[in-house]
Amino acid sequence: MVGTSLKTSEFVLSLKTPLAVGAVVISCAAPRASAQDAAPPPALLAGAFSAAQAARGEETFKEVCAACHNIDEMAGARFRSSWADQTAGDIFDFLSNAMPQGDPGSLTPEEYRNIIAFFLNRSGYPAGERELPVDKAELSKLRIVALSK
Amino acid sequence: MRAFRSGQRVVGPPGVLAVALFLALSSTPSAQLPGTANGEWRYLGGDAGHTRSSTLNQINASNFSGLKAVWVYRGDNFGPGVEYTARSTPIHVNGTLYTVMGQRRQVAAIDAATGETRWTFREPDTMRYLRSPRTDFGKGVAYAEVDGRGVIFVSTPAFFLWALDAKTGRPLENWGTKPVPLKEFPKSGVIDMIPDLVSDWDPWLKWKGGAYDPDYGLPRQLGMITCSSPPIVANGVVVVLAGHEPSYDQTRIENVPADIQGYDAKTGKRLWKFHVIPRPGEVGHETWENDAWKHSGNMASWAPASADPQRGLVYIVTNASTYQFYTGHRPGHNLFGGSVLALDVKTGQRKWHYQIHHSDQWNYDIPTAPILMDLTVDGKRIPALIQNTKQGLIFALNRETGQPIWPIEERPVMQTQVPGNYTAKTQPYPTRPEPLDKIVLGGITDEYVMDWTPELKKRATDILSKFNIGGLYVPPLPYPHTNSYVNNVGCVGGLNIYHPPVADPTTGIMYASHQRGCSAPQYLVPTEGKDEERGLAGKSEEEWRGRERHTPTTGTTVARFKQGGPRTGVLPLMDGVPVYKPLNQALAAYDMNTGEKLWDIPVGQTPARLRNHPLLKGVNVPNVGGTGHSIQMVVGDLLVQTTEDLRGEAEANDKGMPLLHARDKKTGRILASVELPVPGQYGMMTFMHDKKQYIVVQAGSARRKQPGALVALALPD
Repeated sequence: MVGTSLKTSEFVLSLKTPLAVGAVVISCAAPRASAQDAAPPPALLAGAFSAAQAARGEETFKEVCAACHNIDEMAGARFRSSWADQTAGDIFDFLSNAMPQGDPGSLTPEEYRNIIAFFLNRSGYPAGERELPVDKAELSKLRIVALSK
Repeated sequence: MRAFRSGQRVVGPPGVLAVALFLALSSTPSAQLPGTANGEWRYLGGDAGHTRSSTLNQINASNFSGLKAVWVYRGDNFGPGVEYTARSTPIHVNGTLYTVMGQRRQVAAIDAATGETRWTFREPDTMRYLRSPRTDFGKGVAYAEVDGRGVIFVSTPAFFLWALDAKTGRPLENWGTKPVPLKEFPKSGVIDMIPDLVSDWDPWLKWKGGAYDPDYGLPRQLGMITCSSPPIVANGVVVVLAGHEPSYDQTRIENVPADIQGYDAKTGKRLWKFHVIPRPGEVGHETWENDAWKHSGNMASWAPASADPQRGLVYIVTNASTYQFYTGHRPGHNLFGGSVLALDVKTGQRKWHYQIHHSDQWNYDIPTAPILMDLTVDGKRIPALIQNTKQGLIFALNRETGQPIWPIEERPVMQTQVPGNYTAKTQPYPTRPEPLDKIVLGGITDEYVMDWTPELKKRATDILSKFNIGGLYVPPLPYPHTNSYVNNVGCVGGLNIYHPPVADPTTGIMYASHQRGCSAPQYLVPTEGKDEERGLAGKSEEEWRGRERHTPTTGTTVARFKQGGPRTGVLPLMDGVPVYKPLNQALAAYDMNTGEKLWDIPVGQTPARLRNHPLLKGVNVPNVGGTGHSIQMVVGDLLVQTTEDLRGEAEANDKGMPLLHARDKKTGRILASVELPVPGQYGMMTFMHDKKQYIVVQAGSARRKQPGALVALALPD
């Protein structure tokens, strides 16, 4: 159990597949009742990104990132453990300051967000109706936390 | 001796000319090693010394702009998915090009004049192929004539060595000592190299997990082995290089060493094996403290090899051991990692070695083949080896002895603060030639701080005041840590595997493209023995079958630390503007006879994103080059050059078409240009066939949705 901030969750995104260890959800950092204590309302189970956004992110990933990075070696459990207890805003900061290597910051904020959606999708998080928020402060409320077994 | 024909002017130190001329005429048949005579390109790097140069001059500055694409050999159909990379440089022998294509590393024989496929060869599927990482890093094939017959040698991701008839593509008959016991494999012409690799390796000899499975390969608990560079053939011996999943992508400490093996080109008999991790009694064994040699592996050879057939030596470069970023379990300099190795090609005996960096933990694996050419240094003819690096340091050695041509100093470097970790106290710095980018010597010192406006300089200075500034060999900090600064920051200024340096043996000039990059290493955090799960969580290995490049970590013991912690330690941009003066891409020329840098010019144009940045309004933004890496080769009096579109954007004209330039090899000035139908990547080659010279550019662009391909250009009839 890496993160205890579930008690502050507004909503929890369930994983597509159960994981043996280190399962992770994205939760909103706003104070709310524990998601583990009571099942969140169905409406709140909607994903924080859309399938279309993830697909756009995949396209950009193939064009810009795939020359050096293999999504299969980065997404999934590795992504979940690597980013546990950090926020989607942290991922945005990292990507936009460090990537692509040699020309960091050269993608648009929208492209960086789409790539985050692609990683989330390939790491077991289900897509929903909405897209990752444009506002950085909102993005930073999406905390990636671990679940117990 | 081309460079010293009578009547030609010789440039060199006065007073030593006569001696040089005498030596040249009497003892050195050519400054260039064999491979490009008669319009051929017999080795991946053209000649055996990997200079990527040719003296052909039918294509020259006066007609260069008249070049037309005469054929495009497309890579779409050589793998299960569309591949945008074309990492392999073809060889040319007698009217046929030979190379490997795609993730399957299929061998293709291509008509040199028309681009028509003459034959292809595809290895039967195995589980060990599916377990292999980076299967499209084939880079090419090796060629030799055996009893008058041309033979293509290819080493595959699954770690088989094939010998194919160059005319038909069929595996050789009566070649190899033992048939591969797999149904779809032929009885001859192929060798399973894994049994040879592990036959004297203790972890395998003590393995109790069952008999060897030639379909699966090495048990995952012991390691995983692949090939990511072609073999090289010299003096009748096929020298095979081994590869691994990069050690930065591992989490556990055990793996199989990437020992180098030599096979008889005529029979396929294994002749020798060189231990890249020295065993007891072998030179370098003492550099593995705490008996770390017993469990350590990797030390792969990612980059291609070079050879000097006359001296009977093959030159190989290596990378790091596992796990890369934490070395507490393998203290010591870790020979022969990060080294140039000179091996006797007949026996595999080490003639000499030079360790470029000790105990690699920065992903500084040596990315490109050693360049071999003869130089005249202070009037003395020297058989030289030039090794470029990711760091941007250039090492010039005597390839006969391994001795530095100019002094190389051991200088103190920043030390690790991670509990239990190891960093070498000093690292080698050549005193000559100067690095590709001097920023690597001290990092972001005052002269490199972004100062294009007073406001930006203030912001950059404020940001940098929170970091601990270094150059190369900057170690990651543990997290949490108690320093007053956020993180260390280091810089590299060299090159990587996909833009290899080239050289002109007729002049002794070396050309290398380079890029500046400063960053803060990711923190290291304790693993507490917990592994990262890879690939398809909860699924069996069998379920990987058919999925490309799923490579779980190997070994059994998780390293004590791994990359992790908050990413707040990253060196931030200033609204997209770096805190240091950027140098996106430049091309440098060095006279290696003197070690002097002759020129260093930006390649491409500063991206519009920076040129038109609101924070730089009114600033005359200097040209810091475009983002596409420069790739090049020497052709006659020209440096033929283009930029790639994979890790940046290729330089294009106002119609958006990528450009191939003819540069004056003396000055770097562009003399003529021609459009390419597809942006180039990685490398190029040239050859003469039926009295016509061709230039073949490796090409492809994910941005433009143009699959990996070979583009051949020639002058119209």
